Amino acid sequence: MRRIPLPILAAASLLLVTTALVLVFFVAPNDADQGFSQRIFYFHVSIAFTSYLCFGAGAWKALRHLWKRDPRADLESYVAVHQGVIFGALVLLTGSIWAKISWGHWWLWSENQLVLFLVLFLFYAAYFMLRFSVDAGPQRANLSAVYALFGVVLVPVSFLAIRLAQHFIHPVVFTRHGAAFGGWILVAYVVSQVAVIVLAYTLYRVELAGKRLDVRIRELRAALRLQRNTSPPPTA
Amino acid sequence: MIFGIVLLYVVIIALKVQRLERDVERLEETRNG
Repeated sequence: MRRIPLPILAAASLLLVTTALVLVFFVAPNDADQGFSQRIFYFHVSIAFTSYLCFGAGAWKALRHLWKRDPRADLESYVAVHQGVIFGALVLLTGSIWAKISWGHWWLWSENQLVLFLVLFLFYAAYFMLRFSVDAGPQRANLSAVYALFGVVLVPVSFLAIRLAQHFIHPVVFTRHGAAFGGWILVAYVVSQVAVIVLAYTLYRVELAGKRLDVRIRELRAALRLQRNTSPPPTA
Repeated sequence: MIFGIVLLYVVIIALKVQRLERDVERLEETRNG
C-alpha cells in the first residue's frame, strides 16, 4: 500500500487544525453553563481519544511483532506509544486547566476517571524505562511488545470508568444514545477530532521516518568505515 | 499564532525528512553499485 507523502500529511494537519481553531473560537456558540472556558473541551476530548488510539496502535503493532514477526513492527509500536504518552500529557494538562476553571481544583483524587487516566499514562511512561533498560535486540523488542499489549487493557477501563461510576462530576458527552450535543458544537468537535488524529498520524510518521533514517545512516557509516579499513593504503 | 508556528515547523521538518530520505536512498544505491 502506498503511503501518503509526509509533506502532504503535514499540510493537511496545518489546514485541519486551523479550520478547527476557527470553528472552536469563532463559530461554535458559548456553553450556557460554563461559558467560554468550555471551549477547551474540543481539544481535551479530541486529544484524549487520540491518545487512546495511539496506545491501541502501539498494542496492535506489538501484537504484529509477536505474532507475525514483522521486522518493522517493534519500532512502529515504540513510536505509537511515544506519541500516546505525548498526547496523554496534553490530556492531563488540558484537563487540569479545565478542572481548575470549572471545579476550582487542579486535580481531584476522588475522581476515578482522572486517576485511571493517570494510571494509564504512568504505565506507558514506564514503558520507556523498561525499553531502555534492556540492550537493543530481540529481547528488548519482545519485552516491549508484551508490555505494550498489557497496557492496552487499561484503555477501555479508563474510558468506561466514568460511565460505571456511581457519582461523578466529570461530564459525560458520549452515551449509548450518541453525542449529548448537536449543531455547530458537533461540527466543531468532529473537525477538531479529525484534525488532532491527522496531526498525531503526521507526528508518528515524522518520528518513524527520522528513526529509520538514523538506522540507515548508521549502517552506511559502518559500511564506509569498513571499506576504508579494508582498502589498500594509497600509494605515494 | 503559536499553533500556527508549531504546525509550520512540522511542515518544514516533514519536507526536510523527505529530502533526507531521498539523499540516503541515493547513497545506498551508490554503495550497492
